[in-house]
Amino acid sequence: MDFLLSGQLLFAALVLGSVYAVIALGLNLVYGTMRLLNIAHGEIVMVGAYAAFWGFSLLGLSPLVALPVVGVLTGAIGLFLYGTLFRAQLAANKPVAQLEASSLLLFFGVSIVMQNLASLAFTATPRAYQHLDTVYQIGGVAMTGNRIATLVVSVAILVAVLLFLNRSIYGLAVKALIQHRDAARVVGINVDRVQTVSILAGFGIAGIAGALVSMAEQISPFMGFPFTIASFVVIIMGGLGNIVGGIMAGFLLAFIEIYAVALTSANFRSILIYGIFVGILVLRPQGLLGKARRS
Amino acid sequence: MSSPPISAKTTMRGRTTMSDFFSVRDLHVGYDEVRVLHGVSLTAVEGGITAVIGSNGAGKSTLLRSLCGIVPIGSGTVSFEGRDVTDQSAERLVAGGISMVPEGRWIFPDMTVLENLRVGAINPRARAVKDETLQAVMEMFPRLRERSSQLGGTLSGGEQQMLALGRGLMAAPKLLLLDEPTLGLAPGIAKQIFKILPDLTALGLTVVLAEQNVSKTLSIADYAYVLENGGIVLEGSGKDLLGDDAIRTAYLGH
Repeated sequence: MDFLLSGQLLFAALVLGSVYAVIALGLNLVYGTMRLLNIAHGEIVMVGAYAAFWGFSLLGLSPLVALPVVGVLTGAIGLFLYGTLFRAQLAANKPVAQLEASSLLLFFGVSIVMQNLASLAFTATPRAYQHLDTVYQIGGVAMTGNRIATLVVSVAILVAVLLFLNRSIYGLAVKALIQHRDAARVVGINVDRVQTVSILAGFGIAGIAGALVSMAEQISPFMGFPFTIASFVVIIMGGLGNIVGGIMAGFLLAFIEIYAVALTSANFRSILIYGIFVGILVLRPQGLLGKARRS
Repeated sequence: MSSPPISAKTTMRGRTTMSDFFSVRDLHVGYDEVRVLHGVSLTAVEGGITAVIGSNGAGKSTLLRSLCGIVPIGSGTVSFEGRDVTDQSAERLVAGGISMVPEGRWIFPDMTVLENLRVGAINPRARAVKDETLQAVMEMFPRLRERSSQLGGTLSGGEQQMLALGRGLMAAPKLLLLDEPTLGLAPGIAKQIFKILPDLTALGLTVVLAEQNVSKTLSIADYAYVLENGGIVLEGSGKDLLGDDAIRTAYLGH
């Protein structure tokens, strides 16, 4: 059992945790501010991964340099979907249950369209490229450059978003909208603008996470689904709309996944994640860290 | 019950012109198929307290929510400082100087007291004076200063009401809409709230207050309207209504 204490597993869990936390943060922002269940969130990660892949393969652009461009690209997809599918519904103050249901169906459609468009355009064959794959030995732990970069960039994004939410008046407006929509309107928050910023940020950081993932993993048009599931598990674990809880849950899920897989085998990964999902929904639907929600 | 025509008293005071500070004319509001307000007209006493009293379900909350822009107005006009603001968004109304303290307080439960107050001053006019306003709010409610780093959701009901009031004031309003500020509070705290309201007008604020606590409300109101089944059935100065037999029977129980 000594291998459980190895720095190697710890490093792997930290990298995966930071990626889960970032992807789930995007999902949480979109759900929290608008109550939209973005079941196509993993597809945005996929688009980000392909954007980084083509930037690197065709233009020789390092994904790290391309990150802002990738973020703007996927953020723009979010803005487009917001403007065409959701803005009017949100402005009409539809009940939460209706928003959740209609967004779930709409995003399901979006997800299928995006998977198939990507298959048509890029073929279904998995792809990969090599970038920053030098192995560094730090404290007896072998780390590839791209995984170190992934960890550093992800943590930087998490810190930046948390600082924004807690320090800036606009960040407070985002938190206010998440916590009480009508009260946010009462105090004079421009709800449409906060929603625009949230969907831009939520989709943007999902794309950036995809670009980071693409450096170390194979990418394919169907890579998104596991990320969708993992991020839903994470935000439910952390309490829907609870930003800090979601970040902590991202790391928690990664630690459970990495260590449990190390103890058993990779075949159990899906069973494990779905098991945690079902377990939380049954035992503690408000999330491990969440309080029971007021309506 | 149909609403009586605007009384001669009101017309004599000249409160029906559009140059009024704040007035509402023939307001109709409903949710989907349900009509809640039919033809409500009222004028706020500038720099004073104007009360809207009535029983539960009479439409007081709907009236105030439509005035602050979070429930859409069906028809009628709302004018503020001589301008028609009927169809303005909540955001623009707050920016223009109308601030609402909603029934049920609606504080942000997972934000600290200080964050709740800061976000109250999000409109540009309020942001320019936020430090001074914060100082004034903390002086008015010393309890909020003590609890400033505590989460809003952990406060007692009375403290949450103070926070909601403070947050409303942080918007640097000219007109404050107060919806049932003492609902569900212990009598002692309700008394405290009623004591503070006249102080607000001393600061130059105009207050429109919806309340179920009729006797307390009428004793501090400069003018009051009685709302029943979505229409104004009676109006007059607070003192006059306190002495009105119909009011005494219907609302004061003696």
